[in-house]
Amino acid sequence: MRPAVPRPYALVCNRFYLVSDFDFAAALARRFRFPEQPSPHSNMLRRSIKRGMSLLALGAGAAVLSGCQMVILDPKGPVGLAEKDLIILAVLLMLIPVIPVIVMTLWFAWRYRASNTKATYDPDFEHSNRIEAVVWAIPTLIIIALGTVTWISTHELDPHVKVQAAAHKPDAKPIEVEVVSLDWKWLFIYPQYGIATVNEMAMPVGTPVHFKLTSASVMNSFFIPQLGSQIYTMTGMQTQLSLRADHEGVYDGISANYSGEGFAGMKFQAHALSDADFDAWIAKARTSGQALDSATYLSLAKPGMFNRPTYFTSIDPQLFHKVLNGCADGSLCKDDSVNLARMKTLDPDAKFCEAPEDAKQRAGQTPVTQQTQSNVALNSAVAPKI
Amino acid sequence: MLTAPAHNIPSMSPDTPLLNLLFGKLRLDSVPWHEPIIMVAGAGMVGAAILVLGLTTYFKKWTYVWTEWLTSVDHKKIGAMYIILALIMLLRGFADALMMRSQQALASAGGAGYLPPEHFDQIFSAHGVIMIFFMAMPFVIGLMNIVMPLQIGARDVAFPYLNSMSFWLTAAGAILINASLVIGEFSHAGWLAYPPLSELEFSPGVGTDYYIWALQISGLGTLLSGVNLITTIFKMRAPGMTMMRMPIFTWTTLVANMLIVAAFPILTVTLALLGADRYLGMHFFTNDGGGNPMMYVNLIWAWGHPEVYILILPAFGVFSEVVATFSRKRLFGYDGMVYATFAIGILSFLVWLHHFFTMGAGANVNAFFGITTMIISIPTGVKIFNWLFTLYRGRVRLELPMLWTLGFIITFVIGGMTGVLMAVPGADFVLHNSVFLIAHFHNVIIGGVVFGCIAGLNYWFPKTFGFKLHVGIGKVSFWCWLIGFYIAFLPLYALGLMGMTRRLDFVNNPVWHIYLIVALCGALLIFVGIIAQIVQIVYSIWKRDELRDLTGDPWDGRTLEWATSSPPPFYNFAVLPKVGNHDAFWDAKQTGTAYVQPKSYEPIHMPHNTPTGFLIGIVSAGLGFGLVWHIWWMAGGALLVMIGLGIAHTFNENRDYYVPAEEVKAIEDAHFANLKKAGN
Repeated sequence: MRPAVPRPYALVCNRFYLVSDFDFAAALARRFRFPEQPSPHSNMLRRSIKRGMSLLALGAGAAVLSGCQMVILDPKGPVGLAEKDLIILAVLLMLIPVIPVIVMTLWFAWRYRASNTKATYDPDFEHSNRIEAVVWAIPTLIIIALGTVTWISTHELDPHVKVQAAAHKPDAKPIEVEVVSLDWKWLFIYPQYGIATVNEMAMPVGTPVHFKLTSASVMNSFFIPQLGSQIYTMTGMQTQLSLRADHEGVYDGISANYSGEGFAGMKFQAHALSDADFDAWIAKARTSGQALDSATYLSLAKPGMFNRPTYFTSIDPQLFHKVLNGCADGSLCKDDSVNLARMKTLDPDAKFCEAPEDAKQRAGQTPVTQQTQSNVALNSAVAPKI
Repeated sequence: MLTAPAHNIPSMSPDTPLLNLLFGKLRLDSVPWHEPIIMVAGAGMVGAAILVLGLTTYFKKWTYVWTEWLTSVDHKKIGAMYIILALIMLLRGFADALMMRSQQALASAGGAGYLPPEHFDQIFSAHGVIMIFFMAMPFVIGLMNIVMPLQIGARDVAFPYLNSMSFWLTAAGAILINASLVIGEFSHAGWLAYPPLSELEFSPGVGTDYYIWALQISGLGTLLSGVNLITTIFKMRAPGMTMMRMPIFTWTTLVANMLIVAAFPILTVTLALLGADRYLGMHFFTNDGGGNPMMYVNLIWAWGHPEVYILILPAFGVFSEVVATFSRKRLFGYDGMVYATFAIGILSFLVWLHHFFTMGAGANVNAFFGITTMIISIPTGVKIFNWLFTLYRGRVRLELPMLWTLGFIITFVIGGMTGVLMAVPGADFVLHNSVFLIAHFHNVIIGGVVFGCIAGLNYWFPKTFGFKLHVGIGKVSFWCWLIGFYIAFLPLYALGLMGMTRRLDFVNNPVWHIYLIVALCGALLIFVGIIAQIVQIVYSIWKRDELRDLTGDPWDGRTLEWATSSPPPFYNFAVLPKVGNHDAFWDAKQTGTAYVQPKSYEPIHMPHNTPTGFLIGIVSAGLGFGLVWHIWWMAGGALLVMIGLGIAHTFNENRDYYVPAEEVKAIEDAHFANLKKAGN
């Protein structure tokens, strides 16, 4: 039997409809009322790309129709902006050979059609050093250019690279956010503020946000299309990403890697707020949130779909670390077990390395907690031998 | 740590030791009786099977089917069976595509659509698996099987019995996939079954097991076929045919099969490790116990990327043959084509990481794989320019194969462009896994592989069956496919830029609704194209006497396959041709030696038919089924029978025979009489 899954479509769709509607209008308003702030990325190249982009838009009818709905081409932060520029630059570079090829295909097929006996017919024309040099050289040159762009941009856009604060608030302290993908919802932990949220996050405009990400279930991909780069979340692995929003707004966040039957509803909202609004958002989360103790986390981690945005306070500062090490349920943490095993290799007689159950059995008494155990191990006289 | 998701709860059926022993996990309610879509599809499949079997019985054709097809070791018939399998699976895979498109179109305006997520997830998984493994692969292997031995002047492949077994193993995989539709479920973990989603913890049902065993069995068939075709090319070329005189299709066949032999073992091992996790409680790719799912992702793409080139290279070969023939001109830049093919083959192993730039590798690693990916576009670009300069100063006839080729060039450069775009890691960071990616790879797989296969089908159909395919209906099919492709996938490019990710069973954004409706219309237009394709074949069979090709050379061809009659005699060449150039038959026609009948014939050494390949293949489906459902007696028994059949075959001393010279002469006399009738 396949159990039916409750699916509150109407609710979700309405919510997202309102969001996109609002976003659309706000984006238009911003565009027409306020000139764009000069950003570190606006330079000659970008201006010429902009001109090229309008050409491109003419060619792609769909692009003209949709305008601001093309969120990838309407980024709200420096990472997304650089990626948009990169996309346009790469497309323009590639159009250099692609357009002539399409034209030549149609032209040659027409010009040399069998019925056109006036065209030259040269059945043994099969080799020309000049032509062959050119057909190897053109793609090679394009790829050298594009490869150079790739090398530079890949290092600039490396998700490990920390984004800087916006020019108008250079002293802004980066926000740390720990992200855990669950079946099928997003958990955001703000260790600096002692709060956590589900399916909603916020950040102050112009302030860099440094994400540390992992998964408590299957693989997902953390993605806020209008802010740029996505990154996988994987159990037992920590990935990182650094983003910045330069415009206030509410941006859709999604999982961009299929993760099972609740995948389509695994969405969140990313609010880019003014500093004051962000503080208010934090305060709201602090006052309205429930405590995120171990039991609450474990019930949150159970598969569930279409979770509404929820706030939590009283966060275990070690929660992300525990999820990462597979011990949020109270079992032995992977890093601890690795450390313990390493100790055991160095000193096979060390009794403090035993797993809690073994120690319990042998001693017939309650074992010390894991945390204490690993501390004992690390602080013991054996440790300096490493 | 976590409980398993709610889906795939084991059945409520009785669970006695006897039932477990006899039926493993299989119970009556493993069949989803309550799902009307599945039941109708299943009834359709069973009905079609009964119809075919009934017609065979009614017309008393069982002996014919058995001796001429099922047990045949003739490469042309095996190739034709591969293509029939591919066309059948194309229908199945396309039905999945239509269901996905219509679900997304319906479930994007606030509605829920008609497919629950666990069903939708199986559909997109099955669509990918079927289209790659059981449509595209059989199609290209079928073309290679039919054409390559003819092009090199050989009488069969190197190992005819192995060839038969390869096909039937592939067919067994297809049988398992189709069985999963009705008995149990298919994998819901996507066409590459990424763990940990495909592990027992998150996929406790039999779907992933169907996936594993269908691919293991058919993958073995593919690997053996690769060994066979490589050996054939290396050892069985006609006298005078040096490597640099081989037709380009044979070259691409060689490189594609080298890729098969190098890459498919990776797939086999990867799936075996996943199977070990699922069946033996191991922890290669699990979340716990030291497993590492990233290893799977690397391994599966280390196979998966070469696989793309295994598919596209033979298609490139088809286009090379078609362009030269229908431009009535030598292929431009033959040497460059050969080097480009080899360069693509080697580079295809150096790019796999571009499928997961977003996994968090460092900038150096990402940039390296991005740039190697771009480098592939250099030899590919050279190929495209070479085709263009073959058209240049030619006499271009817009026959069906040529139409498909022109459609290919234009479509493929667009797909290549979006592919190189996504090879830039920075661009991929926002386009990865979006429907932009979906549009890209359909752009190259439909525009490249499928167009190539259909061009090849139209081109070599008269060679294989003795009559041409109807032109008018073929043109309807072509235009429906071409226009349908753009209508179906240009909206997906746009949607990708709007931030729509792939594999959504419902869509939250009403703005996307219209694009999804348009995409559905495009898919329906392609469907009309597929129907036209089938009508074209059926109509051509009906009108075969009018479309008959008496000369064996309906297109004024250039390579050796056109030197034989259509269809070729089972021994292909009565006298092995002597080759002085890669356009061997064209040169013979120019010098007037093409149609000179030899005075006498020698007896020809040929292999006997054998049922062993067929039987091993069919029994292997039982092996797979037993493994999927944990019916150990069935799996063990099937494995023993397969081994037994293989060993028994080694005692078969009566494997080959000589066709008497008189019989050869009679067949050849008839061919030369036909030639005379046709005015040659």
